[in-house]
Amino acid sequence: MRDLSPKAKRGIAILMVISALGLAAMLVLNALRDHVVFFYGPSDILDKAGKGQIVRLGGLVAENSITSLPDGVGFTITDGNNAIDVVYAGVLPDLFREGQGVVTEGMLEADIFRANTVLAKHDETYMPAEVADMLKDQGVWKGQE
Amino acid sequence: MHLTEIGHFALALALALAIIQSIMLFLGARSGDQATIKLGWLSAHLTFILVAASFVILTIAFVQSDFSVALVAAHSHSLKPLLYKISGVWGNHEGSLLLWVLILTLFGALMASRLKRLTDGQSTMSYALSVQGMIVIAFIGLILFTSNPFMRLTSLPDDGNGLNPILQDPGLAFHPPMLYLGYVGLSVGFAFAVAALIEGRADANWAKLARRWVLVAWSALTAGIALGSWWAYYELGWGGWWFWDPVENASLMPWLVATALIHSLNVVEKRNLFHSWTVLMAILAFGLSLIGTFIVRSGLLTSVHAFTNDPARGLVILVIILIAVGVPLLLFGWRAGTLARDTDISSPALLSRETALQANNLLLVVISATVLVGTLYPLIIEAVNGARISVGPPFFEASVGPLLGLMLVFMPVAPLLAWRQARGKTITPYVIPMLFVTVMAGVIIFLLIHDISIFAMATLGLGIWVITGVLADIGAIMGGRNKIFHSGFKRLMGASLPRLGMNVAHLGVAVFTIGIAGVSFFDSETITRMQIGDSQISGNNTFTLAKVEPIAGPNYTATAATVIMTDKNDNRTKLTSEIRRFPVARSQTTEAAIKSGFLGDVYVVYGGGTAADGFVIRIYQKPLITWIWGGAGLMMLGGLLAMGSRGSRGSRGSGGSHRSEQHSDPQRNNEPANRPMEG
Repeated sequence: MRDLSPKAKRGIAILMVISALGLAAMLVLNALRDHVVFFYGPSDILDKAGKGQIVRLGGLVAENSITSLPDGVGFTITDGNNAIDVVYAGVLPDLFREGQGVVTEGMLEADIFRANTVLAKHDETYMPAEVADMLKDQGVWKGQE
Repeated sequence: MHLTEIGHFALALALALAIIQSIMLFLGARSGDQATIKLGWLSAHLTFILVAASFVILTIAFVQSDFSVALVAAHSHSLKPLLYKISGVWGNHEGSLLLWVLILTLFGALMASRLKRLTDGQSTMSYALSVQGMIVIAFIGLILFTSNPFMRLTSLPDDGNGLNPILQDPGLAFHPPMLYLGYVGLSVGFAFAVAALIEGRADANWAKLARRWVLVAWSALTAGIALGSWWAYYELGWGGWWFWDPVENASLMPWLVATALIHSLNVVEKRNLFHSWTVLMAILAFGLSLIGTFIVRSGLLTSVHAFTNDPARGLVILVIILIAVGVPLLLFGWRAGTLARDTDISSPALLSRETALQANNLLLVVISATVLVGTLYPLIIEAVNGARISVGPPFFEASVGPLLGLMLVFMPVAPLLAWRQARGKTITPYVIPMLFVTVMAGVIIFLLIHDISIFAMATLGLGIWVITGVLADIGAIMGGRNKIFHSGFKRLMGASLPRLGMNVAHLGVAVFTIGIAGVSFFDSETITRMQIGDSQISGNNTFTLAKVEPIAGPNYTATAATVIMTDKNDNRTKLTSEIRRFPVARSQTTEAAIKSGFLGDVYVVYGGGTAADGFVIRIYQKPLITWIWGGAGLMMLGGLLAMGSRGSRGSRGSGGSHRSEQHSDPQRNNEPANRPMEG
């Protein structure tokens, strides 16, 4: 081991780099295949989300839609054209409010979305980028461009 | 009152002085003319004083609730407690930029003080301070032309808009300054890297000059990230400590690269190798810091941390980042070849500290790149096929997790390897007991907790493995098996601070890892609806809802739920969680009640409710979470200790003890190679 030529050492160094990058690439590709979560709005979730697939659903919380259910809270997410009822077993985050943007994560059960996470936001004036884009697509965006 | 205008003027003057600083030091470094250099460092001092003055003036405006200043009206309120009036200064875009520049010029002033007293390496320091001045120019320019905090309102409002209530918290009062200290501190390493490229030299002396600055920045960054994580843990009310949110990732990437930089600087200093790689790391670490700070403002990625943003500003910031990273990288492409001078001709053996540190750097950079891929992937996918996706914790756990694990496998062995050429027979007396202890500890843990998952076992085992490595190196410092009882304590007291610092930081990594294992694999969550007087069992404790009552705070009203926790020995602890409503900001926050202990936290959150339906109470068990902050604290402490001077302290001048150390200490086997660099 002591008498490896500089060339052999360089070869080993290159091998180290390639194997580290290879390992990382493998891990990344594997993780991307299994753990990426798609984002949908109320208008496309029914068509696009697969059965039992974890997805995100975003939009505006419909006015007067928050109800207390035996197994948590219910509310409706709308994009102005379509709406989906959401059931959430946890406690809503502090900045969750009717009429504001929201992103939830969970899965579709029949045509009800069962959320296991409701994403909290820092700032009450902040609109999640995906929700803003989606509302623009739906032609109901009211904010500034 | 015209104080505000004075603050604005001071900032403009600081810009002019930063220009003088930059030009004079560049010229001075070229010519070696002392008067020019002196003018340069004097300007650096003055720039700091002027920026500090304008920062103080802005703070006064916040404290006095001077609502004629637009920024104060938008982000403060007369009823706010004093601490949050002050922290409100950096709770917004303009003010946080000013804080950023304040810290930047503080580092400039410190560099100037160092330059004053420097005889060797004066030109390197001058170039570095000149580059630092250029960064100051860019950011003061950004403030003055796009984000002026001293703008006045023409019509005076009755009261301010208030600070976002969730930011009204001691954790968030201190998190940004500490984080900025880290981000901005890395600018010094960056400035040294550019200086090295200008001079075409990055040798041991250069590394020695840069080392302490990078260490202090790294320590501050560690503390800043930990504070942010701690804040999110207790303030967001859902018990998480790391969410792999884009903004968090943006702070993790420079931390990883800066960690690589600390380790590779060591190789430059001790062995005069890895020059161009180290320079590249220094450029990347600051480049990623810039991206880390300003990704918050770009609105590019969905994040819980986003400030409301302005596209024009974003563009200017993007241009600054492109120049700050692009120009040095071009310079690097052009000049990197000239950096290696007086390199040791005999290249290190395969089994050597150099190889181990090479692997360390490689893995840290690869991990950083993995985080980058995960963070940017949603943007790429959306650009390619319009699908909106998110990449969350499961992705990072599956990709970054194994790579970190691999690092921890090698980490405890690397410090035992000698420079140039390590011999198997000097490290096996350490590695065999280390393996033995780790395996025994693993068996004991398995016997204690039968249904432990393989991942939990692996994570705990790696933490213990790293601890054994620290103990082994302490053993080596104390003279190894033969002398540890004879003169071990004296040796430990005399050991060099950087080596002790390394061990403290590595111990921090171990403690941190064990904390992660505890909280990731053994946590639990109970959500119940309770009436007053109801009880619920969680973990080893019984929780009884005692009362729910309204209370009044300085600028909020709250509903407080008090839960009595009773343990097996009938000890009672009162836990009060609140929902606070802030009328000015028309929003609310949740204050969790946390009972912290050495073995972990009990975390109780009141989730609202009525006497008719019952009150929602969530109880989390967070085993070992305190070890996460403790580990981060140790890492920071280790970084600070490592700033001490090299070479043993106690045994300096007593050559005899040095000589005898060489046989037992595996690090010191090739003493002559690194001796001349030390001291």
